[in-house]
Amino acid sequence: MLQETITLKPNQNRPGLIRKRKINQKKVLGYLYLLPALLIAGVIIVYPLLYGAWTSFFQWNWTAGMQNKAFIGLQNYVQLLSDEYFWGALKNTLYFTFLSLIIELLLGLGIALLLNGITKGSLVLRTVMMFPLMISDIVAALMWKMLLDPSSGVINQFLLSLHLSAPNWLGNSHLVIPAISMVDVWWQTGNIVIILLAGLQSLPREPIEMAQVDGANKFQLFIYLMWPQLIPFVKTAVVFRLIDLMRVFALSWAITGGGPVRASEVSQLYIYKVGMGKYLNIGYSISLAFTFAIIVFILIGLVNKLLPEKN
Amino acid sequence: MTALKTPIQAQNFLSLPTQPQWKNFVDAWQTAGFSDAFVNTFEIGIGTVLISLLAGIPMAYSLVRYSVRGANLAGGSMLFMRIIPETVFLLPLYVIFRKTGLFDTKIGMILAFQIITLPYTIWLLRSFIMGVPEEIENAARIDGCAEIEIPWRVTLPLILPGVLTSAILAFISVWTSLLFPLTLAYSKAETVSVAISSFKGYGTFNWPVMAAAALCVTIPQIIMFSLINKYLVAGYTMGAVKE
Repeated sequence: MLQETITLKPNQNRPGLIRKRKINQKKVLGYLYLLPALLIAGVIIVYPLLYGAWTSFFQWNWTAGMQNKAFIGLQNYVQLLSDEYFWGALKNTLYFTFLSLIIELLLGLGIALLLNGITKGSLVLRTVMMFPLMISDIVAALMWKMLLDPSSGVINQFLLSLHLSAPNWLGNSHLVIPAISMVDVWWQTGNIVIILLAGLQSLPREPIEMAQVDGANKFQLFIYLMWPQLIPFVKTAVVFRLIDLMRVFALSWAITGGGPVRASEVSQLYIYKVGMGKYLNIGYSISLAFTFAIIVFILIGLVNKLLPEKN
Repeated sequence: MTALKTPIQAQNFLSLPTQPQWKNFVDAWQTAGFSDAFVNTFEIGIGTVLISLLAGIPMAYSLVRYSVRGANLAGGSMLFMRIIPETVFLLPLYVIFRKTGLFDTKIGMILAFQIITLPYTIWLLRSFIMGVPEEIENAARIDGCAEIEIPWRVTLPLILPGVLTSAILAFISVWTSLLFPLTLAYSKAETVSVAISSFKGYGTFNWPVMAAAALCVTIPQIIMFSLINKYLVAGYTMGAVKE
């Protein structure tokens, strides 16, 4: 309504000229406002990406001297296809990602349902839930490294006091990824709780109350009424977590540095080691990075397509 | 967790601090340039936020109000930046920084962090600006407000909480990021995350001092998080329902 009054006024008084100037001015301003951000983006995002892509076609090993650059085309990419460490790291990453995701989803859902049902004390519980999220990944990683220490760590001391076995969490190649996964669950489940709780609280009350009057038990309530409405939220949570889980680095680097014989070496850690570690194999590591990025994108795209949007 | 409470003899966890060793905090502060890293991170963080806001607010405004061509492309690329693993940028940046002498400089770090903070900030600001009804701006226009002034005088004050939230979130990303500072800085432009991990050493650990350092790092973070707690939840649900 207000919109119409505005366009009418200039039209009536001085048709054409003022309107044209206003439109042009808007367009100019529009582009002008984009400028600083696009400039920065161009310099710091686009250029390095292109430069990196170009460099990935080179054999560039800095330990052999910075000038020693040789164009080798796709050879880096061919090499990585048979690089067992790369695929091993990818396997570790996927294992870690899906393990953490599933646990966090189930736990998060349970906690969200719980919090949704409680009225008193929920604020305290909520704050406790959110607390781990406020810690940075390094701090969480180092903290748990301390806790998981086989001899002096709390966890094992606790288990021992219950006369349970106190395994070597970080030294056992079978346990190490579940252990790191546990850290992530402790750290990030709050994220899922936030999203799912928001979803639960957005559900319309009447259908639920009507069903309760009709005698539906909690289980039926959940499956038929709540779950379908929750699906978009679950999907959001899954995609968010997936993105961040695949990019794990700090947990692996700080807690185990790659774990017993690379058992906990995740993809980003491996790429980092190749590029910045002893060998400074720049060209190869960039090709690794790009390949990994593509894999992540494909994964996210797949998950996005496969998960139902609504009921 | 309770681990944060043990800047003391931590061999036997269950022994509660008998004599709080405040000395640990002093040690942490003075060791290995931790205090430098602390100050550095602060400066870098503020610098990063400023640049992101200065570039981000106009762009977000432009994307929302002036339907410039490629607005959707911009939105898509924001998402792209969120998903992409940092290692893709890591090494090219390392090479470029070394060649241009930006390695281990604060300016370099501020620029590098833009990769993470700029898209995120623009994304957030976009949502906030979209929450401001155009009628308000139109009313201002009728009242004679010049086009060029409108975003700054009319819209901006209205989204100030949003701006603050974005600023704090961006600051937190700088505070907590590990990969970039690890690769792109050495001693002069170190961030706290790297500094903390330098406590871990290779053999025996100095748990107490490290815990003290960790506490120093975490407390500002917690403060910042509590400040924006309300807005965080709103932000998440905004994203969820829209998608």
